[in-house]
Amino acid sequence: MNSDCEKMKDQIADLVTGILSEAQTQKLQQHLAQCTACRDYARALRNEDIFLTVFVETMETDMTRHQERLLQAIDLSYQSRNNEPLLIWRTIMKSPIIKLAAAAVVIVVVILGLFEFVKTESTSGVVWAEVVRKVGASRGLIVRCTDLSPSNEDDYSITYTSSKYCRKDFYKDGQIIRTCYVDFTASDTATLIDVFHTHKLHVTAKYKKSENGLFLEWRDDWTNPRFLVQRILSAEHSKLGQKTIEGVLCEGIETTDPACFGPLPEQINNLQVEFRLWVSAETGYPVLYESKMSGESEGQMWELEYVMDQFQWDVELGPDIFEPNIPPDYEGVTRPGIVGL
Amino acid sequence: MNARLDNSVIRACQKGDKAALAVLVKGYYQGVFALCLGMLGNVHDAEDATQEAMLKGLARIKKLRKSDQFEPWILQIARNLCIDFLRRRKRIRAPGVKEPRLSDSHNSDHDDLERAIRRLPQELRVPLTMFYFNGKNAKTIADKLNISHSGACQKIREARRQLHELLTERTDDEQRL
Repeated sequence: MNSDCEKMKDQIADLVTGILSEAQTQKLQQHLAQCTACRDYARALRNEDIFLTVFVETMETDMTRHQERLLQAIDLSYQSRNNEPLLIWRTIMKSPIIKLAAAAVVIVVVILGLFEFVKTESTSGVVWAEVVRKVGASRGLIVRCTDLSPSNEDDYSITYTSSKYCRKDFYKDGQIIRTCYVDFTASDTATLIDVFHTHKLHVTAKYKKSENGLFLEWRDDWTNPRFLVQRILSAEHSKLGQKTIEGVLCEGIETTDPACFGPLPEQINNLQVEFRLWVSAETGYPVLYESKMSGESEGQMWELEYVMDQFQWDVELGPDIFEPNIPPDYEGVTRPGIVGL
Repeated sequence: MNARLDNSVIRACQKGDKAALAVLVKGYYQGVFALCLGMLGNVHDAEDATQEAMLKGLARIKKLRKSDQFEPWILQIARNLCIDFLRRRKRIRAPGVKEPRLSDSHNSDHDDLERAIRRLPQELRVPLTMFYFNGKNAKTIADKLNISHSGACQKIREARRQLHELLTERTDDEQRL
């Protein structure tokens, strides 16, 4: 190896590493064709490159195990926090997959509210007791939900619910970017499969009923907007009169009473709510639900705003729609254990 | 990963969405691990530091103002943890104690390579491990380490040259024995 060869060493390293330009590669190849010492050096570096690649690949195979361990640690750290009720509440209210479930939190209040309501005489065209009965008896439901919160990324979501299953498709620019499938058939847990189409990844997790009694009605009703009616009626509310929405004569009710959520975690301050529900005077089914919430927790202000519309009540939803459809090239992650909400 | 779509995952995490956390872990774990391995030089310490950095980062994710800055932010957390770890290790390790191996591999080729990587100076080891864990993309490494592309290439080149010398030196020593 002469002094020229010493200068070539950098280029050989770049060649083997794949960062040498095409022009330099051609020049170097000419030199390698003539110089045995440099060829040997290049061969040695290539072998080392293979060793390095294999070395990294070996470690990458352990990566999934490490990630699962980390997710377990995250779950443990969540469980050990004192502010678990806050997390539960946040999950209910802020997670895009569980937003519709908020009504189930107030089951006790709902029942009380329902009793109060049933005794109330209605003077308008809509018989609200009949609305409660009809939405409760609805077999399947399809609804569009548009999250207007400042931090939201998707354009809207379409939720399909039956008594045992739920599916939610999140849309962005006309494409489904994420699909959540929830199976409530087990007695004490719900299985959630979250498919992130943008990342070609699906995450499976089992959720349990929380120990403080939340989600008692998960299995049957947790994503069913039928409780929206009860939620509003269970709190201080007022009637909004009539208006026409997309050609349908509707009657509305409104509440700004945070009590409609039932007992709240102490860490939430300044909770403000504004819920409006519009029901078709003809069919007695909800056609529009508008929701605004804001509050302060851990010193940070937050706000949520969403609209539910395009309701299709009492539809027959076949099992196919709830069957997770995961392309074979998607990578899967299973969250170990059972995740507490 | 697509930065715009990543933002939606990060924002979902900030809202407490646990499924999105798994996506984030999947997407960034390897990059953080590569940095930790480069800084600490052995797999077990790198695993611990990665777990700690990810846990710390995810616990504080609500404080991240710009969701498109997640990667530099989590890498900085990992870097700080590694620096602390190295300080502690310096204090704890008694003189003459044998350096731990990079991993538990019993493959002798791997052992040689691990020892050689460990003997590289940290400023070369970090870009080298990150380069091989990131699909051999020098531009990505430059972005992650906030250095120029030519600077990243220069470090990788020098790392490869020194690594070769370390591996050859070992072979020569063995031959003399």
